[in-house]
Amino acid sequence: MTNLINLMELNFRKSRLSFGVLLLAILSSVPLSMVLKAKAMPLSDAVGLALIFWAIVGIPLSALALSAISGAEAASESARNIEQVLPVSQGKFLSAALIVLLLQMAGLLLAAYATMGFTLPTEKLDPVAMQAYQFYLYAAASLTIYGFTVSYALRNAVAGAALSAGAVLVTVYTLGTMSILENLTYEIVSLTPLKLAVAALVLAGVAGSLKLLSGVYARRERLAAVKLTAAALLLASPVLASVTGLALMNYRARRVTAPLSSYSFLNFRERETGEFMLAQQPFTGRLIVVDADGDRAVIEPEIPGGTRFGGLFQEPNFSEGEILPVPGGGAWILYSKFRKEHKLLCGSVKGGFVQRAAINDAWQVTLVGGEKPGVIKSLDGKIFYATLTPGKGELKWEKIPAKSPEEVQAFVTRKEAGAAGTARFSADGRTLIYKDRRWPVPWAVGTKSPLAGLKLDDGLNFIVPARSSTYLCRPDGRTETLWPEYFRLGQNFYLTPDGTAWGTTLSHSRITEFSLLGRSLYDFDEPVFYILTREGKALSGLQIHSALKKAGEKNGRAGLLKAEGDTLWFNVGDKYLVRVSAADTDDFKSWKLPASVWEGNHSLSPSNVSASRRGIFIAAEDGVYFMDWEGKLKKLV
Amino acid sequence: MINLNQSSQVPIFDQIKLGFKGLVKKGLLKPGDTAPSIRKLASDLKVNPNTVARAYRELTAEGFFESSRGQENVISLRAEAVAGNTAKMVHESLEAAIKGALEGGFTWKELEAMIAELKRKIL
Amino acid sequence: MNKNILEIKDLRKAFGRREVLKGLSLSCAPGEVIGILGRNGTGKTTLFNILLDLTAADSGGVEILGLKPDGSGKLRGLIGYVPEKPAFHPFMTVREVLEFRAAFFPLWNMGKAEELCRKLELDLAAKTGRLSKGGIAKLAWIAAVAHNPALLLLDEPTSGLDYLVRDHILSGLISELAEGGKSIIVSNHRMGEMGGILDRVCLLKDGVIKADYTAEFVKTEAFRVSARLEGGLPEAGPGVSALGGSGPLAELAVLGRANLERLKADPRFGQAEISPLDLDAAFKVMLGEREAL
Repeated sequence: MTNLINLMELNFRKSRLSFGVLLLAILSSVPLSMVLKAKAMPLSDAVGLALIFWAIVGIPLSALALSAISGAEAASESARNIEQVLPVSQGKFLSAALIVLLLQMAGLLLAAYATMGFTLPTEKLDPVAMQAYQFYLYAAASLTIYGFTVSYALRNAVAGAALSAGAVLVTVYTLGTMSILENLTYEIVSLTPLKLAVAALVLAGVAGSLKLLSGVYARRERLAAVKLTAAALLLASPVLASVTGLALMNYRARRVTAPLSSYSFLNFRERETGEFMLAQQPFTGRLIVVDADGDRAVIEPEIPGGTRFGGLFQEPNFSEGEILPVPGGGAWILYSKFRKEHKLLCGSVKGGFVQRAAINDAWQVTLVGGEKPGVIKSLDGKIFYATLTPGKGELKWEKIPAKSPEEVQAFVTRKEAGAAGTARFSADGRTLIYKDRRWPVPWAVGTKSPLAGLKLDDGLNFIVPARSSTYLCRPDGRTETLWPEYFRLGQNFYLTPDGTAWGTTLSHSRITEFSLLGRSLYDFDEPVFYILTREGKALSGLQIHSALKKAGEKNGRAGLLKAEGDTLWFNVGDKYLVRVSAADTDDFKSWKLPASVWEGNHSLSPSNVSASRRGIFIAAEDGVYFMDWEGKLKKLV
Repeated sequence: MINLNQSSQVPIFDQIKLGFKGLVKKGLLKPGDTAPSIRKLASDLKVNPNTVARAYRELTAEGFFESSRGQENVISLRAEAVAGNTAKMVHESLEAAIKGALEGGFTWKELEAMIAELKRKIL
Repeated sequence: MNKNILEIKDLRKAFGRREVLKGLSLSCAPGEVIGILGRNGTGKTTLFNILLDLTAADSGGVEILGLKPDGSGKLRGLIGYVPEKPAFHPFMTVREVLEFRAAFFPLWNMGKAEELCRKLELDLAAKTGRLSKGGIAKLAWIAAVAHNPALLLLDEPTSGLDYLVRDHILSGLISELAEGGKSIIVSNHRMGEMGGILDRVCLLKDGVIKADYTAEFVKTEAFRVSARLEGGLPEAGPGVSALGGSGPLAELAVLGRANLERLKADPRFGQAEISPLDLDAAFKVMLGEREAL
């Protein structure tokens, strides 16, 4: 150990001059900048400029200079002649040189820190800047270690500095761009292991290659060519790792699928999506519609080339859109890549889609369902509606007299109800009137708007939200109070593809969990389900606690997908398909869904799971899947 | 003081012994003088100290050096006699040999030729 | 006596395709002084480097003072090494060099080092960058012996030095021998000046120790033969090589008493003048010998 310290002292002595010069430069840069600045420049700017110079140019160059000189010197003839007499192994010589280098770099960084007044505004740094700071420290450290090793390998300071600077730059740029992209979008390749691996490879690569190189250079060992090649590979490994990570990220990104969000200006929506899913590949620009058999139609092809993020990836592009199924198997699709340009298409999955019209004048456009589908747009405060007709020819837009959102909503509700029509309330709001029937609904709310009906086995029913309960108005004239909770169809009461109506309230609890790390306390939000089946059976206050716990879903994200007799199917957190017996919810079977990249990232994002009658579509991170109600999974795209 | 012939057939330690005896004979070293230390002599002659050590050992055994403690490497009072003895021994053997040869019928000339031949042979 | 302090068996080393050591074997007993005789570029430096654990051998066994070269450098702590071209950090003074070395050699004797500096008239305060060649040689010598190693490895310790410095070094060598327990392996281009201290002379040729003579042999069995030959030189037999001569006068070198007797038996050499061959001439003959004896 003392030998190592003695060698380190020697190294300090040998590099006294270069280190001293750099240290002096750093310490005097602030006062110098204050003295030498242009008269017009404010003092703080001059100081800031000096600090920025050091941060971006000075410190990395210092690291390169010190390390390259030290590395080339360690490999030189003169060093060997003078020092080879000592009873110390090559490994110790090199270690001493490296440790001294790192200490000197730490000294320079400390000096820079001192010139900043011993404060670092890290508290004010957002996560991206924090990452940039970490990358900076990594770059400084690896430039030091690398510069030494590569200069030693090439026995030349200039070549060594250039090559190691290049290698570190590639690694930092690659990893940095990947980090930024993931911060902006979502995690495609887990970066923490990759960064740790790269750092470990730098250390291991340097250690291994120094051992091999010193064996060949100093001790003239056999198999020189093999050892030198191995050393080169070891040194290249971090760069290779980061580039491979980048390639992997590009590969995976291309396969990422996501649903299209639908930013509708209408408040209440209940929408059937039919037996297909409209999905997009954000990193290729492709838009497709798939059905459960695996047939697909391409709406938008891949963008060739596209814009490159940092020169390394395709920039992701997120389209918005919706799909409206038409009785008979076809569908209408409305989507927009860029907010104002909406494209309207009609067709079918098996037959393909053609563009019917382009709507480029309004920001807000949305489809309206019903027997005769239409499209509605909001332009300059005025609302226009057109019926969707296949074939050619311009759409016939007519201005509708609705002004307030409620009026627009009423218009849409009537359109979507179609021939069946809507119910209305009496003037005093206490009676619901539909055709020739009347139901008493004393505490009903929202009595100014028309009410769409709900088709159950026994005919058209009406769900009427009341002040602290919900009425069910049956076709036989009966009025039932369903639940002591307020539900409105389309707002917080939904329909599954098979016609079951359901809604939830949230139950909040605090859970104590005991684990190896001790006691932990966390919030557990649990959905409480209220379900009205097609047969007209009402389930009240159903909870699926065990399934939620198994899925690890703490935020209450779960939805009903299907009800058949006594069996219910749920989508828990976009992570599991769960089949539960309504009588005993602890008796459940679950199937894991393929991972989606959007899991839990945006609270406002639509679900990756799209339900249909035959099963569910999942827009996963490597393609679109279909799972049937028995949990059988099939990859479609 | 002592000249050594590295290439001679005579071993170095013998040459050293003879050298001391010669010095005493010439009166350059007298009884009571201290001979140089092993290290110094070896250094001066550029020979292995072991060789000098052996010469000194034998000189002590022969009585040329004092053998009492505290008086190492001191030329003893008997040194002259020892030196003389050696020379005397050589002289006596030569005399005996030559006398015998002459009596046996050899001439001086033949003897000198023999010596010349021996000079060649003994080398 | 005790085990050999140095045992080399079948040492091989090649640099790329060039074979330098081709199965060299050598042993050295405690207290022995061995001279290595060899032409420049024949592997002497490589051999020394391997013994000092500075270069890795390709194959073969080396054991010195119970240790084998393994890359750790421990061997160098037991050997006193004077390189052919000693070098020191120019910015260090003599004292600093010695103090720096002292930290690495546990058996270092600073008193001895200072005493030697005094004896050899080496200024402790002089910067090594300013020392003459003789000064460097003195410092290298002092640094090698100050830690009392059991084996001294000296590579041309007197080459290029003036008479006085050479004398100092040789006296120093003898001093070390006088202290006892030291073995010395020395290479010298003027091996003759060490004739008095050598025990053995090893001829390094063709990557092996071609011949291993005792000092006794070299001193007592090397002859110069001058003869008048009609009809040119005879074929060189074993141990016989031409030294020179002009016309009918031929001068031959003969190594080995048996070979001399054989020559003397030849009637042409009846009247030859035979005299001993001096050490330097004998070594020169050995270097140039085409076959071993």
